[in-house]
Amino acid sequence: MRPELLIDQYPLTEDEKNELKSKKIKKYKFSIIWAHWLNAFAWLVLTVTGVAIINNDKYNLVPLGFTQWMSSLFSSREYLLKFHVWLGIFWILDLSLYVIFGAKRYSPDIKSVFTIDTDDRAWLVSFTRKVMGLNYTFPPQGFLNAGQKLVAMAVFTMTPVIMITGLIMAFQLLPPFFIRASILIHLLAVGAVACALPIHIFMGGCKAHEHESLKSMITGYMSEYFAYKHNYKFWRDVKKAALANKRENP
Amino acid sequence: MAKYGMVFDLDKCIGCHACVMACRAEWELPADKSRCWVKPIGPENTPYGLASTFYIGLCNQCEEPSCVKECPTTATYKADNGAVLVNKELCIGCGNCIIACPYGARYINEIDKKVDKCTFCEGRIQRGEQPACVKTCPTNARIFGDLENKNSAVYKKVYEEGAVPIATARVNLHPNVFYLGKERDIHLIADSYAPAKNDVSISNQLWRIFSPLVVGGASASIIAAFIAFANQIRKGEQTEEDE
Repeated sequence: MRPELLIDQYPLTEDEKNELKSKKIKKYKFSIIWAHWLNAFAWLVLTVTGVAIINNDKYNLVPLGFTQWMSSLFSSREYLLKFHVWLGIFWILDLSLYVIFGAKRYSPDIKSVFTIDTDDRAWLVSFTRKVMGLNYTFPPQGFLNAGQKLVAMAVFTMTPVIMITGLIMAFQLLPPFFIRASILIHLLAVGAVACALPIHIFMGGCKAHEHESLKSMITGYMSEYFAYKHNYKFWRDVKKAALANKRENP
Repeated sequence: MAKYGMVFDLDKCIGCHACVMACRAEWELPADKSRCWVKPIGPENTPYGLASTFYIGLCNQCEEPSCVKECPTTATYKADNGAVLVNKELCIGCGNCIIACPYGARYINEIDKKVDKCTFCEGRIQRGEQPACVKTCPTNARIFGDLENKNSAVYKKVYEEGAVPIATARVNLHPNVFYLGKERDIHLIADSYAPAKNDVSISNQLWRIFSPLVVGGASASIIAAFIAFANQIRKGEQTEEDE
């Protein structure tokens, strides 16, 4: 491997490509994969059941036929509401374990999510140019690209808001004024993430050359070639750390 | 199916509050709350002379209840028998219905933190009994029954003796609770306790502004993802090298 590859994202030779394609790099720990998919499942089910709870023709978010179908699926509206509340509580408890036991371990990762550097800004400009059909060059990205960071930011910011307002509504923790405010804030927080999620699902799960991204969120591993191309700074840091480790423990 | 209603005979009410106590006892309500009330008003001058009476009230079980329209979870609903009921399992205690009710007939029950209101004593009428307040009233000032049964006392009071609801041209939700008595007394009640404008809470008003934006934003995002996916299929799957 050329040493300059650890300095900048140079174009690879065919041999280097083949070498990197044959190697795997660990991107996600099991705990992250579990949290991601549990979050995804909870989001999907809680959103579908949540919109079905609003069954008023003045305020409904989806056609009333769907809300009634959901009620019959859960046998009654009471069970639909109970399911939504108790799944929400399970979701809160599970993610709380990450906060309690993983706050120290994951705080650098969370800090990096909320840091948008020059390359991230350039990536967002390039992405916009790509969508508009203009010329673009993606700058090197870290563990997450800027698009993933934006989704993560929305999720990390809005999740506590959704949880707190959900608990206030479910258990009438505050006076009615705050319950009414919680209904609205719950909607806006869910809406903020719901606007970003379809794009995230497409980019991560359906986009042709991003299949490895989805695979890595299942197996934890991706090819070094994919990491080099899409998460160069992450790949570089892993390689540098491996080299340093090798020097210290030959 | 019967359509229940109630008539208050103002000339018979002596303001003893037995109905309020019976209601509290029947439904085990907090000491400071009741689903019905008796308020002395007057003496005051009215166009019909000096009036003094008791404003007897409870949920008017309106035909077009504004509370039902404002409940986000449909916890509040209009039952087939004409009563407006609250499904406590669906109620989240937001109080939108309290703001919407022009008669102030709803409140938050501090015990269960849910909305509470008169149900015409739902369980009792299902068993064929009279509501607790009606049963208790020592002067028979409360008359309860089927408004569609021509032989019922309540039908006669409304359609033959001229009992009237407390409603205005501006706020008329077609109540099923009526008042019988001297014109001056009814005028005094209507003047002092005219139904307030059935309001919509600020949060519900904002919901109507923001919910289309949220649904629109999420829908646009889904459509954009589908278009991108369709384009990808149309162009054929790209490999890393193509990019």
